[in-house]
Parts: sequence; structure tokens; C-alpha cells
Amino acid sequence: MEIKILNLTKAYGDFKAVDDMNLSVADGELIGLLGPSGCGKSTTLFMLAGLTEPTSGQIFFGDKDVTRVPPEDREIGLVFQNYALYPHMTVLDNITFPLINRKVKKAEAIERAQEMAHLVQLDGLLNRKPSALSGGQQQRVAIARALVKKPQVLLLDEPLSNLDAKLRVETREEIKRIQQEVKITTLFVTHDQEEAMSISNRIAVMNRGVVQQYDAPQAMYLNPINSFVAQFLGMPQINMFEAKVTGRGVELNGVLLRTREQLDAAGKKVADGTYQMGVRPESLELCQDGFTVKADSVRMTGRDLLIFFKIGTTEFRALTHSDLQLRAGDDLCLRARKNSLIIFDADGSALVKC
Amino acid sequence: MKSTKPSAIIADIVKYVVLIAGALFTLLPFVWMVLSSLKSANEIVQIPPTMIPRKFMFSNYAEAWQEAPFPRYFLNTVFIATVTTVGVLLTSILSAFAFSRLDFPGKKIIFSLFMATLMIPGEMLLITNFITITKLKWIDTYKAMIVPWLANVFYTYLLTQFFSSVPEALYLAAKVDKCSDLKFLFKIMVPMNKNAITTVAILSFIGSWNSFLWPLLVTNSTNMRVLSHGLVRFQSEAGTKYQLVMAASCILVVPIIIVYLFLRKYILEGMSYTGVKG
Repeated sequence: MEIKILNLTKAYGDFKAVDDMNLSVADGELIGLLGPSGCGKSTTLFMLAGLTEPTSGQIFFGDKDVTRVPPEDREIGLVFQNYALYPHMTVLDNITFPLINRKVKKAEAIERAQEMAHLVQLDGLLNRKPSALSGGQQQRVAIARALVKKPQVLLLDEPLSNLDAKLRVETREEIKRIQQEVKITTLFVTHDQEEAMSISNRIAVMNRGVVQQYDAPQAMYLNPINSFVAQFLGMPQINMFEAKVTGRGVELNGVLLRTREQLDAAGKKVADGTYQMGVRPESLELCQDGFTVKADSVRMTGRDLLIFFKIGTTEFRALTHSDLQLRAGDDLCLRARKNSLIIFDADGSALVKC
Repeated sequence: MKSTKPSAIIADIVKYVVLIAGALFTLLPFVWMVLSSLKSANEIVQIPPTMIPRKFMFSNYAEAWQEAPFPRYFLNTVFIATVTTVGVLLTSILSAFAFSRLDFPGKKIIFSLFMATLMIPGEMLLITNFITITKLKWIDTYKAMIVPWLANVFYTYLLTQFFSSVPEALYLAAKVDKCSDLKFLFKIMVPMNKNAITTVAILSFIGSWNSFLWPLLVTNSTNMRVLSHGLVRFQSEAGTKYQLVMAASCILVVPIIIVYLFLRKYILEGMSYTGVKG
């Protein structure tokens, strides 16, 4: 089922939780709604579910305008952050509940529930109460309950935030697998950028009720549209700093990051002046002919070595391979890899990448 | 659990001594009632009093039973208490749901007015209620003893609080699952709060069982009287037949104990898992 969101707005008094949002989702896509808390991503999800009434705008499922359709008639499956399982019912009763309410015969409901339970790998747990299940299992019951009525759209509100780190990685793969097996158009809300990037076909990054960028994860990571998206994606965070563009090139405290030729080669004429810039930690690489800095501290994270250093008073982080032998106080020679320096203009939108 | 430290053992001993003392203390009046019901008329007024009856007078029970039309009283009481309890549960559950989950104009004001009525002592309402009942010509009917007690602000308030603590997500999930408000209430809200509701049921039943003044006010004929009135029968100008009062009290208390034993499981179960993690 295709989804189209047109000029969708939700206002609470003067505060706009979602502001003139436009988004279209293709059939069978898995979309991540990503943003910091309070950015309007859950409000968007609840408007899609029909639980929150939009102030203005329209929502289309396929060709049908569902903006005023009540949630039970929208053919959606909804999974809540806290799962919202009915605690006094067994797993089986929880899963058959939406079917029984839709007047499906009991025998058929049980059969379909068993199919669903098999899909989410809950076989053998059908007679338990939710309290006797682990967090991950409860999560899967919630997904089974959402999918059992064969909805056209699956909506998940922070589906992984209540799970511990290891289970989170497993469960997100599980969600991807189930989504692909059922081939259902899915939107999920998350504040975890890694989670969003790892399983989504496309991500919509939101801030203050506005979609900042809507793109495939890799494209978005490499070409953030503005400084917010650049800072929100990536762990460790992108290095943000103010530097000067002069006749010589891009300068920061006497360090020449780019020559004028390199800058101009990027295809856009950048006027002289001070600009906000960003470079990702993994884009700073060791070399022979770059600028020399002194490592302030070094953190071993396993796969990588994270080096903290300063240029002038601006702090930087650089990621290198963990086999590098380096201690705090050592000098190292670095450069910013080609096509990795993003220059933002005064309003924060990306100007050029060089 | 096995404690090894001497200090822990002493702490355990102190704990249990205090608990046992507390239990005995609360049990004593009850034990006294049972023992007194088996004493003879002379022994019960004897100074100093005896603890164990010299002779067990089981005949007290038969005598007490015949003193008043207890079977009729019993039927009346059971009928009134049952109908009142069922009725008050229904009204409290429905209004608690409205106050905790539904949005309607004036909700806060109505709830505040509800709460305000808790500040009025019941005795003050006695006269007005009596006048109302008289004007309705309900005197000496079951209606008079049941209808005024069909709504209870305190139970409504109690259940509203319990219902409010049920996570909103469950309500929304049920909505998506095509579950109407009424169905949500009786399929999810009520089973989830069965402990609180059982508590209300027991309180209401006991309250109705023990009521004395109101049934006495609104009834005239012996046929409409309730069990608690039977106890007054043993008072006369010649004095009170305490041994019979005690025997009748023992009979009276048995159904309440049975009700309690029957529902104890729910009371002791404690708050169950709320269905939501985190």
C-alpha cells in the first residue's frame, strides 16, 4: 500500500508538533522516522494510525483519503513502544483479540494466530501470560497481534527502545525479516540513528515538526542537506567548526584544510568569509603531507581508535584503525579525505562538499 | 530463607513476636464473642469474668435463633446486600471509566462536585433522604433500602484512580483492534483491575450487611427488617441477654467470613503486572 502525506500539520495551540509535512512511501518500503525527542515523529505516526487527529492536511493510503477514517477501519497494525499487551490474557488471546473483534470465527482466528506466532517465532509460548515472557518475546507478540488482521500498513512506535543492546540488534534484523516476508509497507519511529540507518529503505529525519531530509540511509549520511542532519547521523558525531574561506582556500587557525583550487573544483563558487563546516571523524586519515596535531587523548573502542585533538581551540575527533600505536601527547599527521569537508551557509544548509 | 547471623535471628524473633502479639490482639474480641456466646446467663455477668465457659451452652444458639424471625431477616439482608453490591459495582465501574478515560464537557467540574459530596457527613443526609423516600411512598419497601445506596462516591473515586493508572497505550491498542469503549471496559479494564473491584465489592457487601440505622428508619413491619435489627431483640427492660446477643452475632458473622474466604484470593493477589514494560 502506498502512503501519501500531504501538507500534514498538527498544532497544539501555537506549538506546531508537525508542520506542513509532505512524504510519500512506496508499496512495501520500510521507512524510518528519525529525530530527537519532541520532533513530531510519534505524532506523525499516531496521525497515520488515526489516533491523533491532524489540524490540517491529508493522508492517503493508496488512492483512499483516510484522514478522517477511524483507526479500526484503516487496515493498520500498530506496535506501541511499551507493547501494550493485555496482561490478563494469554499470548494466544492477545493475538486473536483483533480477529475476534472483527467477528472472525474462533477456529479460524486461532489458526491465523498460530501462523503469526510461527512467523515471529513464538511457537510453544501461546498459552503463557505476557508477564512470563522476556522483553523481546513480548515485542514479538505485539508484532504478531499487529499483523494477524493482515493490515496494509504496519506502524511501529520506538519498537526497540525497551530492549537491551544485544537484543536490540537481533530484534531489528527480525523486524526487517518479518517485514520482507509479509511485504508490508512499514513506518517505524526511532531516535536511534544507527537503528534507522541499518534497516530502513529510506529515512525521514525530523526536527521541530519539519522533515529535514528524506533519503536512503547512505545518501543521507554522505550528503546531509543541512547541519542538523549532519550532526544527527553518525556516531561518533561529525566534527563541526567555524573556519575561514580566503584566497588561499579553507583555513582554520593557520591550518590549510583545502586549497582554493580544491575548493573551486567542487563546482560551486564560495565567497570569502567565515563558515560553519563539518568533517566526519572517519574522514580524517593519517598521511605524510597533511597538518600535524598533538593527540590529547586516545580511546580504544574495539574496532577503532578514537583520537581527540585540537586545532587552535576547536576540538576534533578522528577515527583510525585500532592497530595504530599511539599515546596521548604523541604527534600525528592528518588530512581530511577528499570530498569529505562539508561547508554550510549561514542558515545551516549544506553549500558544498569538497 | 536461612539466616546465619545471630543479629538476623534476633531480628526475626522480634519480628514474629510483634506479629503474633498483633494477631492475638485483633483476634481477642472475636474469640471473646465466640466464648461468651457459649456461657450461661449467670456466668456472662459474673465478676470477675471467666475466659472459658464452665459449661458450653450450645442451646444459646437455638434460643437466639428463635427469639427473632432470623430466616426472614437473613433473606432480607442477603437480598439487599447482593442487589446493592451488584448495583454499586455497575455504577462505580461505568462512572469511573467515564472519569478516567472519556472526554466530555464539564468533566472536571462534575468530578469536583462528586468529591465535594464526600465532605458531607452521612448523618446529615439521613433526614433529607428519609423525606425523599417518604414522598416517593417507598417506606417499608426493599427499594427504600437499596436505591439510595446504588451509587457511591468513594468507590467511584477509588476505581477512577485505579482505571487512570492503566496505561493509555492499552486503550489505544484496543481501539486499533476494533474494540468499542464498552467492550474495552469489560474485557480489559475490569479484568485488569479485578482486585480493586473485588475490594469494592467486599466493602459494599459488608457495609450493607452491617447497616442498621437506615433500614430501621425506612421499615415498619417485621417482615422487612434485617439481621442487625435482630440483635436489638435481646434488649428489654429486664436487661440485655448478652449471651444471646453474642450467639446471634456469631451467626451473623458467618456469611461475611464465607464471602471473605471466597474472595480472599483476589484481595491477596496484590497488584498484577500492568501489561506495559518500562
